[in-house]
Amino acid sequence: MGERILRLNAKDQELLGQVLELGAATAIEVAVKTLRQPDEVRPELERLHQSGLLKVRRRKGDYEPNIYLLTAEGKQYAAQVKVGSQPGRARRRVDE
Amino acid sequence: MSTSQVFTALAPYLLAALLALIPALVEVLRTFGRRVGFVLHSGAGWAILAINAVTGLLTYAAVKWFFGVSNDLVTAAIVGLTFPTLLRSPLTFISGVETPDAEFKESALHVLADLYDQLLRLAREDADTRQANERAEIAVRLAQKHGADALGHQVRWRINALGDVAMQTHYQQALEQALAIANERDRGVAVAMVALDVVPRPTIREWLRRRQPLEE
Repeated sequence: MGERILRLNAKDQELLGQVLELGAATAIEVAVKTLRQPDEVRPELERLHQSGLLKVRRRKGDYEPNIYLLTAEGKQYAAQVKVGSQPGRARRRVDE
Repeated sequence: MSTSQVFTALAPYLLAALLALIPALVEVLRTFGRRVGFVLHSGAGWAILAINAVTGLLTYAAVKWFFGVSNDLVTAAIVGLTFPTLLRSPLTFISGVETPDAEFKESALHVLADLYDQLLRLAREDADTRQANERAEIAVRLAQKHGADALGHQVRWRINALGDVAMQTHYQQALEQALAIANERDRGVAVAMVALDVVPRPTIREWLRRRQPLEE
């Protein structure tokens, strides 16, 4: 399979960068961290999941059943985004 | 062979395996820090520890065979505690023995190293997922218990008390954005997510235990 190059807009990059920073996150957490509305972020995360940049782990319960993590390819794209630009307790070392 | 003889023969191997867990735990602690509890809930985390225990045991068996030392607890203790150094040292039997299939041995070691890296990656993902799940569950419980408005009031008070102006501005924006969410459940959880960033953990725990809702 040949190497593919995805065109990501600034919002996609910001979402990937945020997931990289958190390690794993629900859509609502990503929305809060990126100062956006959850209804706007959920379909975008789903699209990134369909593109193979994010993978999903299920959590119990009917509310926010998806936890998003970066795939190996997603990490490559997210690494291009500047991280650590936002304050917050949840900020973590990306090289951990 | 009596039971006590079997135990005496096996005890050094068991000791080497058990002590091998110490450098493994130190390595896991150094890698995951305070998140070590999450790692120990992960199959990959336990596999890392198991691999270290088995490697410690095999290293002891190899040292015993190669150097012809007796089966004793002191040697087992030394090997168990130092096996990562022994395996990585250029003076050990692994790199010391020149064989025609050195390339194969090297590739086999690479396969083991790759397996170890994969397990570390999986353990890290498990820890990240558990942590994200825990944050979500706490946020949902806080939202159910106190509601967006009361939480928002408390969070705003704490944001105003922050010393850093950039942090204050960021969290004010995050809170206003969260309070503007139309869906009531999302609104409560989003405000609780902001609370998780600005409210100290003991206070969060107190809010979760509290019988009365917070004041608006």
